[in-house]
Amino acid sequence: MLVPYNWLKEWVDLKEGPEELAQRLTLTGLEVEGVFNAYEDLAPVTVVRVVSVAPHPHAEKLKVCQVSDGERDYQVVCGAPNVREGLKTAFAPPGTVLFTGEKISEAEIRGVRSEGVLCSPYELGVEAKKDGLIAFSDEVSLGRKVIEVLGLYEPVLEVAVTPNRGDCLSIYGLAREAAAVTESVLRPFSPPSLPLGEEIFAETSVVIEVPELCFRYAGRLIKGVQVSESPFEIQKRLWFCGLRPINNVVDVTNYVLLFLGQPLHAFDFDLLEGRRIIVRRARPGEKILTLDGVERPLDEGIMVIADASRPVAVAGIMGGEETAVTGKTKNIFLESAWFNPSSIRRSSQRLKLSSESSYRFERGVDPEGVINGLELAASLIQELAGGEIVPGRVDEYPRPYVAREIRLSPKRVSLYLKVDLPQEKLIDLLKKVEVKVERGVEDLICVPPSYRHDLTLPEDLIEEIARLYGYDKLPVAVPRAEIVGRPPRPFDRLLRRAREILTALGLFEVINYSFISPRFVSLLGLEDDPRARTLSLANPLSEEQAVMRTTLIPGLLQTARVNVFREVPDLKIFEIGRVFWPREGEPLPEERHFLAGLLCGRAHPPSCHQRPRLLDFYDLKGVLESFCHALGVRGLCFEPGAGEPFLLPALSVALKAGEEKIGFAGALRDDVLEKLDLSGPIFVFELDLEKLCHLVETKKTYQPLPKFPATFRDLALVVPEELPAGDVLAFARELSFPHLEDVQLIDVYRGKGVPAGEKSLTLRFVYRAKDRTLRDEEVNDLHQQVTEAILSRFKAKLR
Amino acid sequence: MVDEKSLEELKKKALSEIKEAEDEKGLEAARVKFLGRKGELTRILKSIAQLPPELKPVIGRLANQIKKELEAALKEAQQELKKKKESRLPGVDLTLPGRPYPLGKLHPITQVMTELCEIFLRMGFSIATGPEVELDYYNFEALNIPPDHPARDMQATFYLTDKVLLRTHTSPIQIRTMEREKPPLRIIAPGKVYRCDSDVTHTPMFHQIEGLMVDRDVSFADLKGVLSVFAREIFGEETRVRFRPSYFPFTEPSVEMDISCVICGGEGCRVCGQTGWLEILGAGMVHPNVFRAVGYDPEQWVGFAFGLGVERITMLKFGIDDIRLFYENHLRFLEQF
Ligand SMILES: [Zn+2]
Repeated sequence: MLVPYNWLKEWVDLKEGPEELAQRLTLTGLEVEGVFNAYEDLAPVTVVRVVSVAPHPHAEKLKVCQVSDGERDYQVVCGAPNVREGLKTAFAPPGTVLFTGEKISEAEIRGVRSEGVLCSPYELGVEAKKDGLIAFSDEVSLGRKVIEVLGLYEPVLEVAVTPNRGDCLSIYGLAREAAAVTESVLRPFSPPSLPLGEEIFAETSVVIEVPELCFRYAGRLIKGVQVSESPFEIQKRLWFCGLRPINNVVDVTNYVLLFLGQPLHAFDFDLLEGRRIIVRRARPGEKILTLDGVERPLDEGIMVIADASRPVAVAGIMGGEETAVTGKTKNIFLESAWFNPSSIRRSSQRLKLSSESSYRFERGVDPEGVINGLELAASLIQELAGGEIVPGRVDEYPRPYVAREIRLSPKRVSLYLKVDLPQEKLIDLLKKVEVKVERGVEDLICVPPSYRHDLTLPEDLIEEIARLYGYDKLPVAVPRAEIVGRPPRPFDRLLRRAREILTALGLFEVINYSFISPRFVSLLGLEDDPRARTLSLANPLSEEQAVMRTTLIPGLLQTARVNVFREVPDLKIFEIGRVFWPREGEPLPEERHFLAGLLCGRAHPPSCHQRPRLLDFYDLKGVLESFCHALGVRGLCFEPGAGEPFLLPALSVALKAGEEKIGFAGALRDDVLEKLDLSGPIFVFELDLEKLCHLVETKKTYQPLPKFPATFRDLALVVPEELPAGDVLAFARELSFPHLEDVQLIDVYRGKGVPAGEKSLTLRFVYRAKDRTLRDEEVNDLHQQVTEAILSRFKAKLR
Repeated sequence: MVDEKSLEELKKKALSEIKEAEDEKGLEAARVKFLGRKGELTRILKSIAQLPPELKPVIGRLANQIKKELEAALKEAQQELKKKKESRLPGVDLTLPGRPYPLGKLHPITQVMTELCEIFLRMGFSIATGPEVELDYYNFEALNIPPDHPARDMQATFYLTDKVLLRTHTSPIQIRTMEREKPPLRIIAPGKVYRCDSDVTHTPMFHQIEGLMVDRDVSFADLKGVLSVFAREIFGEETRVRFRPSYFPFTEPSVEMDISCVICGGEGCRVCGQTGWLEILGAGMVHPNVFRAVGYDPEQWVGFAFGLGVERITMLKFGIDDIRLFYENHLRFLEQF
């Protein structure tokens, strides 16, 4: 909310300047985001001299002027009668927003280019004079800022009013708050006294059909008004607060809204059918053309103000165009009401329409302030637009305000704040915010003022006490409490350890958005995959972030693109994050922690010590093997062929725990790469960490170190190319011969000495006895048996 | 005939040859030439027997002394050569860069999140978690934000359905934890949160850490104490803190904590908007309605809660000026931390 300091000062005798006041308000709970000059919008306007004036070739009343700010010349089309060569005046360049609300841009005016406008005193917010340009005396130097030359300065506080403090959404409300938090005195406001009586009831009536939505509805009738422009001072005040002047009647309603926080609406009384008001729910099929020129369909969830036949306003939000006050209006019905805040908010959201009124109604206006607003506005309208106020006023008040009583125990205050304030001090602080306090037996019996909807519980009063006393004056302590800390959960440890291991393996951690583009389904060919079933956001920021991810791969691919396109072609990255799988019949999805990674480009950074080489599948597998080893994963198998539509079957593996697939790893298919504008090979992997967690061996048992030396024997086999080396290795490792401790695959060879279509595998066997050194003959004998077992199992020859 | 003079000359010659030997081979040649079986000095020593008796002792003593001297010189020269050899290996250039053993790094958000969590873990808080796709009830209603409450405007929300949304803060974890566990409690809840916002200071996803302490005798003073300790641990001992009243529907009284600007130290700069203070977190005493929603008796239990934005703290720590960098994941960015 924009608060002109000088308006505020009319109601509270502040000793603080605008900056000091801003600081004080901020420290007591109303954050002031800044203090600025209301004329700041006009800062680009400078003093220029009219160098030449020529007639406009296509318009009789316009002139084409060359003006100079002392540095350069501008061409401006101008229609002011007093423009003449040598005149010093004000020039607004494109981008300036004038007092009138007009935003200047470079324009063609009837075929002639105009690089800005020359301004009248009115357009600069100086005085009401509209015809003719502002003129400066000769001493004023060219190029100076006009706001400086004229001393245009009006300090305005930008206050961020929190949603609980609807009472501060007005000048008077802020004056009250300022008085409470400084040592200043508030000037009391009382409305003018206007004629009372019964006459109004002969002319009109108000019926509230929905007392649960409209607690109070008041109105006055003003007859014979002259609608025209408001006085300049009123216009200026509205402008300081960011509102645009419209006409004297509407401006008064806005002025009172700003001053007292009471929203008002003026109807053209003669256009109200039946000359009466009904507050009711809209009926299905009803529509209204609102003041912003939009026709809006209504429904029963929306409260309207209706005349005898149709809605004439959306209650509390915006009036209708058809009954609006215009230049022709003679008689006015002025509305001042109190609507149910949540009803206004619901309607406002339903219609996607909000206004200064709805903003205040949602946050709660003062039910006891309805009449103040009405009376002030009626008298101002009469003052500015003439006419007669019809004696009497409507005041339907089906749910009168009942003051709340809050029992505050001083003990609770000291429990909360750890400070023992005497009761007198508590009462004193609460009185600053107009809370009435009486002493009970033990408690203080407190009655907050009608405009403080936020004060309902003792804790709310404790907050008032704390902030008025000063948060910084309250004591500081270190909690004394029994120790409740627990060790981290195993899964959290696993996540932490997984991150450590992967970075040690050279991978960088990335974090991608949890929402992705739904196009990932077709990108990865997942049309028939359960992962194509995603949760969609109802209101995404863009199509790129419209569904919740069911796999981390699309995010990693996006990261790869960002890097590869921006000079980082070598990538080793991983992400740990949740994926979201919709569950049948459950409102919330299943959220699982996944780990995924991506490797592409060169295996090592460029170095004088190593020949460059591209990453290959064995790098991927090596990373995963080391990861599993370091994490203590047991029983994870790499089965050829991942079965993932986006991976090359020949260059991918499924990661399995027994029969259950818990992940995959492999190279992306070429068509996927092509769609991404990337070139391969690119390797990815993904693992369900919650499943992997079950494979982590947490219990480790010590194995005694060998006391006797081992003996090694190598076995070179020639086998058909199709025979997977892993099968031979796995078979050899499964063999149960005494003293056979370990088997390693130490070489795979093709070429000289090995026939085409075959390959040579060299296995190294480690033999060791626990209790003695094995003799050579014993080992030879064993190794002979091992060799025979392998030769009888596989189609293999000795090399 | 051997005399003293010729012996001295022999010594001189031998010493100079030893000195000039460039390698082991040259040194060995010099040794053979003078001290070898047929070496010049060896020959002289052998011939002493034939000398006249009056010369024998003089020449003999001198020759033996020279032999010792030469042997010592040889030894010294050998060591000298060895030293020289060790100091320089052919083909080795110690100025070459090492062979790379590249390590990866954790995302800066993870790093700072871990650091933040550790501070609270040391103060006896434990970690709690909850779902990122959340029910409206846990994200708003149970936190004293009924439907149609204007406080909902404070958090632009992504909805999936009317009742299901992406959590806008980590506060729903408070509710879920309190529903499950009996007081006293001391938890922190780190995690991702989501809001419909995107510009230089907002990304639609970011990270928060929520904290909650509930006990019989917890006060506003404890809240100030815990958060002051936290601020000094993360931003340094000289950091000053300031508490301002604020509004969160789920706390009463509510507070915002500012720290003295980490850039200018409180003098006023662009980052702190010339105020010398930076807003760092929101907190407050747990609202009685929140306790009622989870079935805790607000007459018996008191608590405080706080929530802080990990991105904001990370940006301040590292001087990062655009929050979107965190989620672009450009390696040139990530490798700086
Ligand atoms: Zn600063």
